[in-house]
Amino acid sequence: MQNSSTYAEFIGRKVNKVRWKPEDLMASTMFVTGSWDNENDNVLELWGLTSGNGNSAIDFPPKLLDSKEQNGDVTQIKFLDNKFVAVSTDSGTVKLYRIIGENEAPTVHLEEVTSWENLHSYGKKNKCACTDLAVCNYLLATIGADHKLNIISLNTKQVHQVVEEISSSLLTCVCFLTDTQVLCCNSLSQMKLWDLRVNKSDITADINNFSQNQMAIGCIAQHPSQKHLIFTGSEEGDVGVWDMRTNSLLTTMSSGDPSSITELAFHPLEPDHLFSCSSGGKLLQWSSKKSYLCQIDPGDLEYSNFWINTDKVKTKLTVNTVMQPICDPINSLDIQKQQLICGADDEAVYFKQNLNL
Amino acid sequence: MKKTLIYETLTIPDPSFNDDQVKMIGTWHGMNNICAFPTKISRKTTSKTSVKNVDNTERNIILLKHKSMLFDPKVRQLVNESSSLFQELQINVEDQNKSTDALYYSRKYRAILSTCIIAIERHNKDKLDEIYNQYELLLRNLELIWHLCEVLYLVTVPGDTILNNLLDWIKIHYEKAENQASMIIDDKTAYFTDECVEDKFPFYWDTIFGLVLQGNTDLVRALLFNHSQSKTEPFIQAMKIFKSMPTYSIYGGLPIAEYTSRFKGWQSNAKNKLECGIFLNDPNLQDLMKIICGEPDCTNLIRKHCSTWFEYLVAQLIYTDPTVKKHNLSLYAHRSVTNYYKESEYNHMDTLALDLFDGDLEAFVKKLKSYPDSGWSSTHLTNLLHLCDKIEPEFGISDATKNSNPNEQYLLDYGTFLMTHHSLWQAGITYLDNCSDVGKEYLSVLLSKLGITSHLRTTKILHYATSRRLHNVVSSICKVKGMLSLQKSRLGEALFWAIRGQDSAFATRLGDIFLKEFVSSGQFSCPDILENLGSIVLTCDRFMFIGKYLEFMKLVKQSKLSEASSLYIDLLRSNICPKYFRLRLLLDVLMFIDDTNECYFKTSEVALVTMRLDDAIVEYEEINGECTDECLSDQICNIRRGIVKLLSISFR
Repeated sequence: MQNSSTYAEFIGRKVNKVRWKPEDLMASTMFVTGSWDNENDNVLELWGLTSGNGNSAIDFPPKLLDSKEQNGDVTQIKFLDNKFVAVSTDSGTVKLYRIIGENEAPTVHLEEVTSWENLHSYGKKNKCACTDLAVCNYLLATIGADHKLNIISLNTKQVHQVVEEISSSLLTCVCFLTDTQVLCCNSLSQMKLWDLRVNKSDITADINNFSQNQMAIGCIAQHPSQKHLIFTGSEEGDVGVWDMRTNSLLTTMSSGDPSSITELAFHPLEPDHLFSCSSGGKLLQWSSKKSYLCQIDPGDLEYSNFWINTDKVKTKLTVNTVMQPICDPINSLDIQKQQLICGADDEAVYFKQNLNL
Repeated sequence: MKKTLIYETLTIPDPSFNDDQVKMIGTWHGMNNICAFPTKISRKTTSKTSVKNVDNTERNIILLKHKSMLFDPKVRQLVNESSSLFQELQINVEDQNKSTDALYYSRKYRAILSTCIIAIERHNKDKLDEIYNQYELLLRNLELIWHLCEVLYLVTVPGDTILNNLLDWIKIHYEKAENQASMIIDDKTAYFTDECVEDKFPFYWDTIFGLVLQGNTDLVRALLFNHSQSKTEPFIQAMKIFKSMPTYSIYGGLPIAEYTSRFKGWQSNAKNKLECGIFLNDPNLQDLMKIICGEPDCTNLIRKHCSTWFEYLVAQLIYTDPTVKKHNLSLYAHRSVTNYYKESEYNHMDTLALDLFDGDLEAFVKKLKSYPDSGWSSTHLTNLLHLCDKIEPEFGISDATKNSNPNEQYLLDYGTFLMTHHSLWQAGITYLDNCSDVGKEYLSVLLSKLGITSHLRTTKILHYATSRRLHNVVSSICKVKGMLSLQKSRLGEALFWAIRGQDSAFATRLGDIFLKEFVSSGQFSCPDILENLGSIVLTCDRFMFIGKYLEFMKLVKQSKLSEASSLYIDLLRSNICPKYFRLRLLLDVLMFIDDTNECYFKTSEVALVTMRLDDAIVEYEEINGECTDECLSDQICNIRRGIVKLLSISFR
């Protein structure tokens, strides 16, 4: 029988980020969480799910495998591959960890590989937050409250390129459009595209007026197969769809909830499904896949252009809640195979199997 | 007249306070701590003479911190999980379509309690940590008392025959006998090796007594059957008696009278056998039979086998008054508590339970407030009882508090308490949300007192304040953040906060900085924001001017001079230009003089320019060049020359 209920585990710290450890073939049994707002006691934790009786069913609650103290709120966690994980904190530090000893269960732990201290600071002394990081083919991009963009090469572990003063207001999120193009968003709903090949780095495109209200762009997601499609989540609960070939806004979709969208994520293998979570405690699934209940339009053989066709987005998109809304903000979510995990401010990690894809 | 409520009295054992002249002074430190320090009060008349007598005694400043069980990392899940259940309950109450089953929610709260107890147990397996042992005990007692309240008030029993429910309650919380019994029964070696079970397990008879006193006759029979003497006559007889014991069930169809007569018959049958002396050979069996016959002289025996008077009360009821009604419980409870304790010293738990048995929910709830769980139980239980109308919304609460609703008062206390925690403040908001207008006032004060340490935290606080329409909180936070950015001379960020808080006064100040910077350097900083000012131009005149001026500059750059000229005249006519910028603005008139000799201004418009120039000069002389640039004043002649030229062009 398919088990579709949601499990929750309270971990004693508010969760700001949660990420599955990527696995190629099987459902992942490990995930990491990063906490925030716990005075001086913020940690990165590695959790393991024990597969019960060799069945596909995974047992919740998870077991704490390792815990690494962080010197500030964890702002972003990104896996580079299935071993290395990069973590940024609001004290301006980015650390790279490696998961060691996966096959001998009791000794699985995290080992610090590299640490970049003071990547972001006001002047020399005052540390400031690293707000987001992005990973692409052994390049790491970090942005911070000092309006700086750092490009770190993971081969040499050196800061490769620094772009200063890229925005006048706070930078909120960053994303690699291609190997050489970085997209940054700020808290006045502006997006800026940087080309790393240009010697003296300059803005290649400056995209503005996301909405009339100048609300911050809180998160950004790239379509897994059509890389030119960019989705942004605003502080007012709207999702914007952008075509980066023309740098234009295709459409905006409302989540029906005025609270800010905290994270957007596509299912990595099923790009027809977009997931979002919000400060209002809602977890939504936006499906563009043709529902069997809908009348099939004979001319509509191709979905690949779904997002380009604004009318289709307006009429064919289905939005469902994935789990019962909770009253605290959900800060982060991640999907891997058929399982979803999300972390919230009520200090809980929610786990759901057998997603409806 | 307002009365003062004393919540708690502490004594501080510090020697420096042991002085008649010393007074203790306290101030709030942060949201939740009190600083207390001794101050020597010397009278004014003597002060002049004693100035030189410097007091060298060491004085401590004492920091009083509110430490609570709820803030322990393992117990925090109790706070978080219950806050979401609490929220769910409040929503369901408002929804007419959904029935609020108080029992369902009470059980859920208890489930949360047990999960927390299990988590603590798992963490503290070897029971070495004294603090966790204490927490566990506190939570267990809380669950016991909550369950009793649930059994007595939330479970509906037809005919009010409450005994079966009480038995369930006792069985769940005192499971020692049952665990031991299953240990004995599961042990098969005794069965195969002819070993005597009663010798192998020294607690054999204790277990049987425990089970009998919980009315668990099936297990008693199973245990008796395992006894080495089980084939002898007394044991066979005893098992027969236990087997034939009539059990009362509400839905069994037996009327109470019928059941009572059967029970009496069964008991007198057992009594006959007892009096015949069948069980005389085995003193334990004899005692057992005495208990089930309800003999009055075996109370001491029962008392010996009960660890608390709760067990004692229920055990007595099983064999003396099995169809006891709820309203008779009070009498039995008081009787058994006095019998059980030699001295009449009741602890907190006893008084709580007695209040429940007495049916005095109000007193119970009030006493629960002082249970050392920082108000967790009193808040949730009162709220639940309040919602299912078990307690009156207004019972005798002191006049000191503004609102007479205790439910609300508890919610306020608990919510405020949570808001003082560095991480659990979000859970506190949930409770304050549910206390009408007062809660909102509290929230607006507390939210603006929260530390805005990180950006993430600030956005969260703003999110809560915005969604609750607490605009004063939003603007005060934005102002603080804006000033902090300004101190670091990060103009762009400061402007962002001004826009976010729609703070026109602060924005005006920032606008002045931008304009003055332009006057001195000829360039605006933060072009990316200034080009997209958005709604701030509507709330702040200065930015309306900056916006227009930038537009004007853009038109000039694109050499669309005719459009630029009309905008220029509009700017002059509307007079929104700040004083210090007027000369700078008038200087721009020179841009319209080019080689093409094209006419951009009408004569009347040139007159306006002249008029504004005269005004500006007068103003300039009044303030005597204090804030304008020196070179700008030299430009006056240039401007005049330009105006003449423009005028000549317009006449052409």
